[in-house]
Amino acid sequence: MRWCLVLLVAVGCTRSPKPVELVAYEHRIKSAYNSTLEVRQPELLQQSVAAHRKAVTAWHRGDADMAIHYTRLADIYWRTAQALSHTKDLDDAAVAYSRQAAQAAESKALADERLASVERDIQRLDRLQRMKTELVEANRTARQERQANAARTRIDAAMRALRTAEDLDAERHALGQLNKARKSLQNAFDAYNAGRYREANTAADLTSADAAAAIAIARPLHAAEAEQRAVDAELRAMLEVAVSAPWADVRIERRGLVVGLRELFAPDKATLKTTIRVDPFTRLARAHPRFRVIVEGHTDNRGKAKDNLDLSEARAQAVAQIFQAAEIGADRLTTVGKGDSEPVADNATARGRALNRRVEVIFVRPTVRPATP
Amino acid sequence: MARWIGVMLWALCGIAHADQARITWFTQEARRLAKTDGAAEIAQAFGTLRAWIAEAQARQVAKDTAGVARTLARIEAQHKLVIALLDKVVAARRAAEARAQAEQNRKAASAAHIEVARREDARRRLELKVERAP
Repeated sequence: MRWCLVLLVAVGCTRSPKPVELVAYEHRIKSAYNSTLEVRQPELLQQSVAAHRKAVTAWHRGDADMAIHYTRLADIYWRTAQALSHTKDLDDAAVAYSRQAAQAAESKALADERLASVERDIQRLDRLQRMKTELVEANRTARQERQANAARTRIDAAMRALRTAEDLDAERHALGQLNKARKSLQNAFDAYNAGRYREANTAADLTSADAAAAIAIARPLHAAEAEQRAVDAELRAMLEVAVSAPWADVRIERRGLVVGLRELFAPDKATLKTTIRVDPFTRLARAHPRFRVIVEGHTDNRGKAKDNLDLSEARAQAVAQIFQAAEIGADRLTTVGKGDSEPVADNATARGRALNRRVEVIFVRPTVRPATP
Repeated sequence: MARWIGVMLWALCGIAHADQARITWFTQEARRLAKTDGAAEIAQAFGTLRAWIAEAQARQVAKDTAGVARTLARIEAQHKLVIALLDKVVAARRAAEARAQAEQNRKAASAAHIEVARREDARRRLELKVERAP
């Protein structure tokens, strides 16, 4: 009996080595032990443990095939539990990522909403900016238009002044001022066309000032010339009337219309033979009141010079009285005795002496002077 | 005795028929699973599954009933493992997609916030400009 027991022990002690798969499996689960698996996959873990136990039992029994079979089963159960646990982890991760994605999407939606609001504000501000710019531009344009209109008005006034000066013949009387005015006007036009309205205003004012200066110089001279022409025309008209008297020698001299009247007196007498020859010229004097009348008495050279002078003066007085009787005021009349000092013919002949015995009625050309400013 | 043998034969045939049906089913499953994208682990597990299916067929042919039963037990467990591994791959893909989506959304949100800050700065500058305009 004892030998049987020893034999049995010997046989028992000479068990075959553990299968490699069983050793590998035991090593694998030892290093990869995870308590989470016990919570998540308890059934599979139990199946794995049970299969492992059976594998060990089979190995103890010496049944290597069964030991390997149960080892494989235990490994499969273990790996299945691991896979399912990993899947759970992955599912949890997917859920977390999905939550993160949703939060990020929500954050982006908020940002998009905020962006839309900011964009609306920017558009509103852009519109406001454009409106302000347009308003500034409109004000600037209006201001420029006002300046242009004001410059135009001043230039027109300057042009009118310049035209007035030219009409007053400032070309002859005030050429310097006129040319200055013209130059200033050209500067005003150039500045206006270039949009420099202040400069145009200044140039227009200069034009007006120079034109006014030219007018101030030319106007009295122009008026004097017109007056002179009027006087000349009147004298010519008077000449036309005067030449109708055959007893009169009529001419226009520098001093005026000279009417030489002959055979008014008897020799050495100062009494008019007739007033008929004088009357036409008294009417002429009345018709042309602007002309002063000088009555000059002349004699021939017979007799004493003093006597001739007295006689000529008396005769002039006689004729002047006719004018006074015709209501020609004494302030217009002047009598002068010239004696024989101004003969018009040769005193050597009777004819000449007859011509020298005369009274000259001079309608004095009025002196036209330009009015002083 | 004959009856018992007949019953035994019928049982054996039935068992054999049931085993064959299972083998056939697992064969079809293996074909289906082979079409799914998987990692090397799955390929290896799937290869093992197919090998064991072939083993079961061979044992079936050799009328190794016990061997067939043992192989079928392993095949069943391996099938579950392959399914679990495939589910893990799908879960990994889902997690990766979710992570990518989260990253994409995070970047989009970040870009949107940067753009908001940039446009708000532009608005502030424009506000100052409008206030200062004559």
